[in-house]
Amino acid sequence: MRIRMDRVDDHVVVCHVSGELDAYTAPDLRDALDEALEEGDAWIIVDLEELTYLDSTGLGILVGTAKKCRQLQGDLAVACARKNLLRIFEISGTQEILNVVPDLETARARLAEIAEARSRNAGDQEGT
Amino acid sequence: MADRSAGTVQLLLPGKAEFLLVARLATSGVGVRSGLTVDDIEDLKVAVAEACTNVINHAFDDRTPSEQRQITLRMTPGGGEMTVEVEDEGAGFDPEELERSRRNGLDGEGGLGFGLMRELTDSLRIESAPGSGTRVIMVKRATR
Repeated sequence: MRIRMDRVDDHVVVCHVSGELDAYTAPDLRDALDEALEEGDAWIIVDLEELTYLDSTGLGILVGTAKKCRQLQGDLAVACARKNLLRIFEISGTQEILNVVPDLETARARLAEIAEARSRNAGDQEGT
Repeated sequence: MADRSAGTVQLLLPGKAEFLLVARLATSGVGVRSGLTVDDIEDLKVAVAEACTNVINHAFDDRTPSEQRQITLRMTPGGGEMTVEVEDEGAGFDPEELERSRRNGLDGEGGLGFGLMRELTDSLRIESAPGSGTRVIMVKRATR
């Protein structure tokens, strides 16, 4: 499995994952995502376009990272269009919590929407 | 269930995560012989890997001798279906306990793996008891 981290702007980091994500390779992904979080990156896109295998070990890491992102006032989105991987998200019911969308552009838009909504809610609460 | 005499492939894998890929490749190879579709094989690869991962994570502890840290994988192709058995001689567990946790919504991480195994196969049976090892038997039928 290969991992490549890209920064797309001041706020969003993309983690490109290729190959197969299982119990053997998952620690590398966990380390890469934890490092991003430790550096203060709380808006993360995990790009699975080149990933061919995913099971509960990888799912657990993605869900755990999404929770950590939210604790840091950020969020996580997963870009994935591969049928066999989408099936895993669907069966496990994790599409919403992981903001699973078909591609990177949609993932960026999703995170922007989430940030905007939170900012509006925060503004509404301050006003009351 | 497929007849074992129809050419069962048996692998003895070290109980280590780096061999999960071997389990998946073997599942693909035998799956093709079983008449499973590509999607069926993808489902079964996950189910088999989940069963093997459970062995690696839960069946052994520091006291387990290395020669016992093994996973026996038996794959039997049949007419339009494939039976896979994942067996270990590890700690074993009470399958009823797992079922109780699932009903109470306390699956946790391990439960997610069992949940996927259940959903991705057509039949799943777990034979285990504390101290007696575990055998997971799953059947996948070709999607028409």
